[in-house]
Amino acid sequence: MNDVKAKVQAKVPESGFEQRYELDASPENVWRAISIAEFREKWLPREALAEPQSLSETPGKEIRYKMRDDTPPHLESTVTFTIAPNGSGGTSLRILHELTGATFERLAKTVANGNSPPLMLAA
Amino acid sequence: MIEHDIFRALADPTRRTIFEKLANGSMNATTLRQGMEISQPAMSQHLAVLRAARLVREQKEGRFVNYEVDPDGLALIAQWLAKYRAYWPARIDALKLLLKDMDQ
Repeated sequence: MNDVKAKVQAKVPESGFEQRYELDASPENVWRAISIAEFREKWLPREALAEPQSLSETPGKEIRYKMRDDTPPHLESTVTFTIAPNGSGGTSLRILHELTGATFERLAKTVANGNSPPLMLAA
Repeated sequence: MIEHDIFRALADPTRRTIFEKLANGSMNATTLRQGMEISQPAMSQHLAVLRAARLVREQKEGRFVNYEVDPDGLALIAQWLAKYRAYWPARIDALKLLLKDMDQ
């Protein structure tokens, strides 16, 4: 429908992904649910976040948190919640979830060091 | 391109199931087949594709061969992506419940 969306999607690196949701609730309520810890913890467990404070926020529009996977090797990532009114009283929510630069670079290096051409072998 | 191989390898639902089983710990092919309607040759073929994409590696212990998630980076990234793609829809369901409560 619009080019901006397509461009945003194309920019998402392979180390992350994007999801979009439509919510019936107003942007004001969604903002409170994603930005106030007391509400946030009711749907996003405190343990999922590396730190309870946001990395950055634009009130009413966008908030970013640092996350840490609860299973080894505990990869760290950044999640960005972006909200906008959807024209029918509800809210569009975009989730952009990416491995953090340091984590991704470390993994990419591991691959580069141990790389061999992939072979199709019959087992 | 390796990344392309990974997503092609995981595009198949059977291989995704195999990969997810191995993400919980190493297993031999016989144990892997339990609960799946799949022949031994078909399992071998799926494992070969997963190995070629470097998602899974083989470990020989005497006469036995175990399979495990390849600990190199791209396999980890694929595992991470699979986990969190499935993570958010469940969180959003919980968010919707909270939003309903906030209205009352």
